[in-house]
Parts: sequence; structure tokens; C-alpha cells
Amino acid sequence: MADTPKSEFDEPNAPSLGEAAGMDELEAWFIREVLPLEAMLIQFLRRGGRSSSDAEDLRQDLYERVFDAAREGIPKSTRAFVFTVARNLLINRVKHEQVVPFTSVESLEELSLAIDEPAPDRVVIARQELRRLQVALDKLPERQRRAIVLRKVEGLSIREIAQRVGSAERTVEEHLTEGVRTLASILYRDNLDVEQSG
Amino acid sequence: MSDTKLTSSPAAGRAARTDAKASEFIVRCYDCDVWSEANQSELDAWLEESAANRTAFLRLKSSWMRANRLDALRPMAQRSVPSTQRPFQYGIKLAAVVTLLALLTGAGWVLSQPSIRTFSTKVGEQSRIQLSDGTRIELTTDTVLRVATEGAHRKVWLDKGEAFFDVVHDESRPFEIHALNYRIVDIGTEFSVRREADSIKVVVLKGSVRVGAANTGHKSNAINVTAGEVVVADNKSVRVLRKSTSQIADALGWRNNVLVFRNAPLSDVAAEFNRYNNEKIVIDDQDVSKSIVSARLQATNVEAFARMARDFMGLQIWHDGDEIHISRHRK
Repeated sequence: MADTPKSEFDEPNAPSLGEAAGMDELEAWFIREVLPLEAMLIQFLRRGGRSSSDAEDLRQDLYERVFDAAREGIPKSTRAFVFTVARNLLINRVKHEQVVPFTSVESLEELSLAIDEPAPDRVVIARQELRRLQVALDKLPERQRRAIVLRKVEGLSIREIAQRVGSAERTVEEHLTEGVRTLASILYRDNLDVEQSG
Repeated sequence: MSDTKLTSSPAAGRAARTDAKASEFIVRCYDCDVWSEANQSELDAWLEESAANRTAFLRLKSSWMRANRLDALRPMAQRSVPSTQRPFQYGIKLAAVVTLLALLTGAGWVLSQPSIRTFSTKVGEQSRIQLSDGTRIELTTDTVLRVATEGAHRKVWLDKGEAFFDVVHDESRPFEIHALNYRIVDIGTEFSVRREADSIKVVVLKGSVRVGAANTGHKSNAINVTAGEVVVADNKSVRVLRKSTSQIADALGWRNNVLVFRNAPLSDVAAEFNRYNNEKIVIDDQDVSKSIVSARLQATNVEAFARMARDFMGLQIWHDGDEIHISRHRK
């Protein structure tokens, strides 16, 4: 695989090839260790002068490669591993793009800095998590927020929500699916702000 | 408010399309009223397509699951009883019944009855029987009942489990089902009776039945229960719940080997599956067993249930002999 870690970023004990991880273990690892890095990753990917849509596509490629590579063995240092894959991915991308955005090179430099940043706290006490969720809710567009509150706080089904707000079930479903995506963006990207202010 | 930044544009690229599909799965499958094996197969296939699909699904699902903590904001009173199941209580407290039951517990009312036939099913089995009067009885898993049709009253004793009755009504020879300390009397009807350790449940599909204490006269204390109603009775109270047609059909889904759950705690779902299967589900975490789920599954397909726990609830599952363990973290 062209984009798996090599060179100076390769940790001596990662990835441990040969000890293939089970799918459950792999998914748990991805949620626990990779997703919390998204705030930093997306910041980095966007700063290459790329459109938001491009950055999202890069993020998807990155997750795909990281996940596929981890099938061979879960790396000991997820952080170094993920950022190394990101770096290689970007180098490849820069090579293939006809117009190299002016800021790309500069961003690549920043990667080594990003690797050294303190890891986000993994142990989140319930109160803090709830506060974080409330802050996230406040950031949601009104229709999405209303649907999510009725679903998650009041525990209503889609049909019941539709009756309550007087919309079609299909519409409620749309608000919820949009809400699922928006919520992920907020929770995985705005964490740092909330932590600082809370 | 920065809506523009947060809302992804539909015309966006590959990642946006993948996310759109993944979020649809989450809302349609995880949050729909009933989750089916067809949903699961479709999802499995989509996840297998690429790691991009899988990671997109994991990402959206995990944040969506985090939002479950929002239920901490729900008023306490609402939390235990999901709205669809809030009982329509007649508030009948049969104090007299309780007294009588206490007096008569253990009374040998079936002593040496002639021509009593016993029917039973093992775990995972179902069976149908037809009585000489044309009445049909369907026994679900792990059920024992005895039948006496020759006396002035046709009688069935439900000793264990659950059965569905399609009774040929005969005014002169009432059809009675005895379960626990209750008697259910047919008034031209189709219904099921389920016996638990200390309660009974009657689901009426057509017509009506009378439910009352077993050892009192016919009319006293018995209440009329009609199609679309469910009775849950124990030693303290009798509750009558009004249900929609589809809820009644769901409650009788076992007749077609289907179990349907709406907003049920995972512990109930597991207990129900364990009635039907020799491979038993064990939930190792207290808080996991309280998680609320909705699902429509084959009664004898424990694997489908386990996959649901894994894929939609992010739980760990593993086999240990005859047990399938479910918990937040593998122990």
C-alpha cells in the first residue's frame, strides 16, 4: 500500500504486522482512537487551500486507508500512524494535482507540529459530555435540532415526531439524517473549543 | 449561528454522498420503529463494499450514539414508560380477589380429573393442536398445557409458556383457560394467554373474553376484555392496555416465528429470545441491559439479535459454550 507509513514517522513498534485484529476490535479502535483526531485533521486538510468538499473527500480517503492498513494489525501509536498516512496521502495528492496550492508545502511542515500536540482527553466525565452535547445541540439548525430533541430527549419515534410537528414522516427522516451528519461534524470538530470554554 | 459551515451541501463530493447514505442507514435502521433482517442484510452488504463506507458509518453512528446521553435531560417520569406503552389503566385493584387467592392457594382443583390430556413444546419448538370441538390451539416455545373437554366446562390449564386460542364458541359449554390464579373465559374469540412466574398476559385479537379470579363465581370481579386490548394481571392488580391493531399483531408475531419489540429494554429482548433458544443471551452490564431498542426478528435467530447489538448499539459480543455474551467491553 503506497500510503502506509514508512520513513521517519514509522514508529518502531507500529504497526505490528501479522496479528490481524478482529472486526469488532478494529471498529472499537477506530471510534476510540482515530475519530477524536478529526478536529485536528480536518483543520489541517482544509488549510491546504482546498474547498470544504475536497477536504471531506481527503478525510474519507484517509479513514479508508487507515482502516484498511489497521486490518493487518492495530498500530501502537494511533496518532503517529494516522498523521503519517495523512502526510503520505497529501504528498501523493500534491504530486497529482496540476496546480499546487501555494499553502500545501507549508501545511506539510505543520504536520510534525500536529503530531506533538497533546492528545484529547479520552476520559470524559458524564457531566462534561452532557454539556458538550447541549452546546452541540445549540449549534444545530433549528429543524434538525427539534427533530433530534424529540427523538433523543423525548424518545419519540419518527411517526410520533411527524405527528407532533405536523410534518410528513419523510421530512422528519430528512431532518434526522441531516442531523446525524451535522452532529458528527460538531462533536468531532468543535471539541477543542468546548473543552477550552468549559 | 453558523449554519452555512455546518450544513453539508448536497451537491458535494464523494465523502458527502457516502455520509448521506450512512446517515440514512442510521436513521432508517437504527431509529425506525422496527428493524428488520432485510435492513441488516442491506447494511452488511454496503459496509462490505469498502472501508470508506464502513468508516463513514462508524463515525456517524458513534456520534449519534453519544447523543443518547441526552435522555438524561428527559424528566424522570417519562423515562421508564415509553409513550406508546403508557398503560390505559382502569385502576382495578381486586382486593377481594387477592384475599380469595391467598385463601385458595394450592387448593387441589385439578385432583383426579378424568381424560386430561397434556400438550407441550420444547425450547425452540411450536405446535398446533385441534380439539374435537374444532377449537384450535397454538403452543409457542417451552409451553405446557393440559386440556379437558368432556365436562360441563371445557378447560385448559396453562402450566407454563404461552398459547394462542381460536375457540369455537358454545354458550352451553364455556371454554375456560386457567393460568396462575386467573380464569379467562371465551366469549367467541381469538386470543393468547401467556403465563409468567407471577403474572399472566392476555392478548385479544378478535371478540372478547372475561378475565377474573379462578375460584370465584362467573360474573363476580371478572372484567370484559375486547379485541385490541391486552390484560396484564398479577396478584396485586389487573391492568387493561389498549393497543393498536399493529401492536396486537406484533404481540402475536410468535405465531409466525417473529418477535417484535418496540422501545423495549435490551434485558426484555434477551429474556424473550432465551425462551425460544437453547443458546442463551447473557448481558453482562447493568446499564447495557437498560438500553431501549426496537426490532423485528426471527424468534429462533439469535445470531441476528447479536448482530443487531453489535452493529447498532456498538456492543461487544462473544460466544462462550451455550451462551452469547453482550457487554460494552469484552471482559
